[in-house]
Amino acid sequence: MNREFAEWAASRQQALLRTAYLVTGDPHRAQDLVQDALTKVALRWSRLRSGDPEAYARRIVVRDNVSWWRRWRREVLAGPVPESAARVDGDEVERRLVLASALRRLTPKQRAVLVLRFYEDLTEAETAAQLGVSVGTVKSQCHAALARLRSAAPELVDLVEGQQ
Amino acid sequence: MTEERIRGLLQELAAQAPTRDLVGMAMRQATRARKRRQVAVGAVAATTVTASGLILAPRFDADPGGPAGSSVTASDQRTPEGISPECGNEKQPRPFVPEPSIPMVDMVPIPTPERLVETMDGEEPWAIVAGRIERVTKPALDRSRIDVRVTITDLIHESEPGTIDAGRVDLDFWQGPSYNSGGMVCSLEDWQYALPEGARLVAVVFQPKGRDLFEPHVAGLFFESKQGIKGGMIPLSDLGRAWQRIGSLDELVERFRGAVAAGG
Repeated sequence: MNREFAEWAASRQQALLRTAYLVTGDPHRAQDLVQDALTKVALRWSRLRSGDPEAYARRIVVRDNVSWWRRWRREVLAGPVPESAARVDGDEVERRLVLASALRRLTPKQRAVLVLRFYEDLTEAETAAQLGVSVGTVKSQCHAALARLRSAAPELVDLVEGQQ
Repeated sequence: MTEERIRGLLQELAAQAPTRDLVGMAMRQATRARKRRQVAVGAVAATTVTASGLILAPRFDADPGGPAGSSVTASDQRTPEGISPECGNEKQPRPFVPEPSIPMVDMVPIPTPERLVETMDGEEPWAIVAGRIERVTKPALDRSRIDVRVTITDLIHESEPGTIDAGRVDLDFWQGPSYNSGGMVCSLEDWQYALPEGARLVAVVFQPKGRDLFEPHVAGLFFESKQGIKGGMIPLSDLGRAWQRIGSLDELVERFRGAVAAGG
């Protein structure tokens, strides 16, 4: 069992870390979330191995992040949020900085919806299942997230449109 | 802003995710969780057996010592006679500071060494030091305190030049609760046993206004152990897993050094 789990985990941990990093924006929190998720998968491996352990792990990552944020939001909000993320020059590094800053202005659930829908390429129904919410909630959260990105981070729109 | 563009940006950002092998850590954590479940089941039976008597919790789990060739660690001088039973409890191992002083601590978890350094920017003088325990004594005029003198081997940072002088720092600790009869739950001998001469540590210390002695930040005291580092006042498990991933005091020193350099 251990070997089978270890092989699976080794092959999927980086993908999970990327998702966790996108939903948290914090490399340390991302590692904590993934480590937790892998531990939970390990504990249930005999039941999960024949199913979709990655979906289970991803669900833990996004849900635990939302729960964590609810618990510790004061500390998170105390972190610096730049008024204007960066100059609008359009190179890749700058785009990343602008996006990271813009994502910080979303709630964890909005972030998770964006990541699951557009990065993981899940359907609305799949995203809803991952987050444990209704499809309607996914739609409204996605709409709100995009609107917030446009209004709160116009520099991001400029960057994106500048690339087209 | 099209979905395609969002997708592309997210992929660019995802490429910046940390790369870390977490599999071994997760498997060890799962093994510990399984054991805890087994212990929990066993504990029910044990409670039944001892329900009518005093439960004497075992003392600290004896640490086998530091890495091969290293000098004293903060627990390898322990013997079964070492610490008063009331001062130690294997169920909640507080390996260095006697346990009764711990539940009084109220803190917001500080997830990383870098965050801890950020929180230290205040009016009080502060420093980060690595060193070894020189002696543990009790001040004559204050019965509730314990002084721990540390010989500094590496002054990692001081808020202002001269904050720390003479290559040593005296740390001030609350000794812990006392009995109604007046005796201390954790005696000076318990402290000396828990903090043996020569034990290596890293500490983030500050000097409260009007005081000569320094105090370690509640989340800023670490000792060496065979497995890596151990929290001196707060178990690493309460601080967060970023701390548990630090493999040695040397690695911790480098993290602190990097954090200071980034902030300064």
